[in-house]
Amino acid sequence: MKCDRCQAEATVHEVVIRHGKRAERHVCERCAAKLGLFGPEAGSAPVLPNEPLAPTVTADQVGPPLPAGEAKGDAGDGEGVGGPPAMTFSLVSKLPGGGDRATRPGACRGCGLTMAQFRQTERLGCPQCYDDLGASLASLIERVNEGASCHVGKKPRRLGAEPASGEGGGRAMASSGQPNLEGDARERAAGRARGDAVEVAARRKALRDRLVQAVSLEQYELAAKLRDELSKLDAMLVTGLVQPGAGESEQGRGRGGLDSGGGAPS
Amino acid sequence: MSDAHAPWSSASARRGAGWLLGGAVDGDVVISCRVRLARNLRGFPFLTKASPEHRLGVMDAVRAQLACAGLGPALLWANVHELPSLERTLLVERHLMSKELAKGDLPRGLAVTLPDESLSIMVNEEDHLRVQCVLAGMALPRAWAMASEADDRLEAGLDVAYSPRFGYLTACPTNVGTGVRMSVMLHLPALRISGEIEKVKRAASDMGLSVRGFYGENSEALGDFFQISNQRTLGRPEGLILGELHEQIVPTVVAYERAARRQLVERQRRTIEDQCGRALGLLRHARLLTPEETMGALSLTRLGRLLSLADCQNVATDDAGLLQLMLQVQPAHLQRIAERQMDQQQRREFRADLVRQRITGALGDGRSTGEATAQGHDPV
Repeated sequence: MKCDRCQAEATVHEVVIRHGKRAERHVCERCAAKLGLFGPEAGSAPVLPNEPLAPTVTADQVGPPLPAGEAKGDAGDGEGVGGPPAMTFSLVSKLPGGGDRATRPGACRGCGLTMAQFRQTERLGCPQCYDDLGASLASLIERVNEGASCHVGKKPRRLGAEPASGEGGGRAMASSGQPNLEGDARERAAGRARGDAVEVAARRKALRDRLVQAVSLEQYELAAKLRDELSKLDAMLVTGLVQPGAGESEQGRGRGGLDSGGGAPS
Repeated sequence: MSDAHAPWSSASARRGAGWLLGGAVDGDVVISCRVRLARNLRGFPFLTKASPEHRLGVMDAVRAQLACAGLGPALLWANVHELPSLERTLLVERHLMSKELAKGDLPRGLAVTLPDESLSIMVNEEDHLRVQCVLAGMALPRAWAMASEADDRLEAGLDVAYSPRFGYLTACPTNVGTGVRMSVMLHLPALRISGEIEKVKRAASDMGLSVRGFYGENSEALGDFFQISNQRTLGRPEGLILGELHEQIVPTVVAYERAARRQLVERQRRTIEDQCGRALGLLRHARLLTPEETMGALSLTRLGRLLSLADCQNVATDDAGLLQLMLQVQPAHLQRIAERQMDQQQRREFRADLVRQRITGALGDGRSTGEATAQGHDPV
């Protein structure tokens, strides 16, 4: 795909939704920078690769106005691009290397599986499928789990979580390889601090993915809520107020509930 | 650890399985419980896209970590794709692995803690790893604690596929999240006789639970055993799934079965006595028995024994013995006890002889099992 302004390879794609109408533009990196599509002026926070650069959602016009006639798609509503829109969403995404990926659109970049192939076997091909097969897979997962879309519960220890089995699990194992409990606890506390930052970044990425989906599906209210959550997370990263992992409250519940007496967890 | 402790040895077949020992708490209805966790390793495709080399790579990585995980006093490892058919069937009958793992010749493995066989880890079944704990009675919290601890010890040296959004990543998205399946096996003969088992199945389905038979299939439940398990794996923590089963669902169904048993005795005593009496008669006198009719008859004899009906309390074995017979009359166990291969007709004969001996305490030549033991013969 060629840049709308200079015919170089387009690697930055902007979708603007204004007054319910959608317009896209596709530009190269240099033109994107000239247009201020990313960088501090676009309000973007630290970015992970292969994801939206600036999920900015404002009630005002976003960034520099689209020059009349340059925006593809149906943005023409007679008001011109300078008018004050009620709700404008601008989503800018960047794919590295433009045309260097041979995978089909909608296929997993790890193993090549498509949703059509998945529907035949009902089995995914690799962990990457969960990222790449997008909204169709996510909505199937939600349907099977009564609307739930996010994991709650045990997570691997390397992310800084306490083991969900707690003391009861230790007693239950008859083994000569008993861990050094005190040393393990110290290490887990240090790991938790490292894990928190990793976890916040990961949660941020998940929120951004969902924001992309919501905008593409024109679910504006949901998109606004997700934008607010993202802003809170960004504030935490900037000020260093990263809280202990959300799993802690469940871990406490889990430990209490897993005594061999079988007390009910809350 | 001697070969006698291998799960496919004839000693193990004669001894039965730990999860069929019966439980002290609610043991009249609750038989056993199981917790299963599904995990996959990063760096390998899921099994539908995995080559034999990938599968061997997964097995190598898992075996290396098993060697230092300290999961039990001893750990047996089996390359399942190299096991003979009878051994595979024995492992399936003992609930140590699934029918799916027993099928096919692609590289796959199984680890089992010895001697109690309480933990088993399937490698390259539907997911790279399936960690399972099976215990007798209503021990679901302990089964979860053991399975989770084993999971932690394996994960300490393996890169497990996990995402903060979707949780533990599985080959089938219906398992994603906690990847946990918790189930309790109940003996529900009265609910089956009264027809109310269908209500239980519908209510369970409404609550997002599944109800399956002895070996997990959808067919008529063998021996009136029913496994109730969670279906949903995402969006609810393990403690909540555990609490719901342990504190709400199972106690409710247990009470329901007990009420159904009381009603049978109060309102249809002659009918239920007749059914239990006929079942006991079959076990005492038949000379040929199929597995299905044996399990049905054992179920009714157990019910009769618990309700003191039709002389069922006078069988020569205790409740644990009756439950173990449910396993020992299965085709592979029967042949391992007999220590020879048998065709279907031979198995029907041997099954009838085995059951008759256990129920009546008499051997085929007229001696009792007590006399045989005194003479130095090991009764079957």
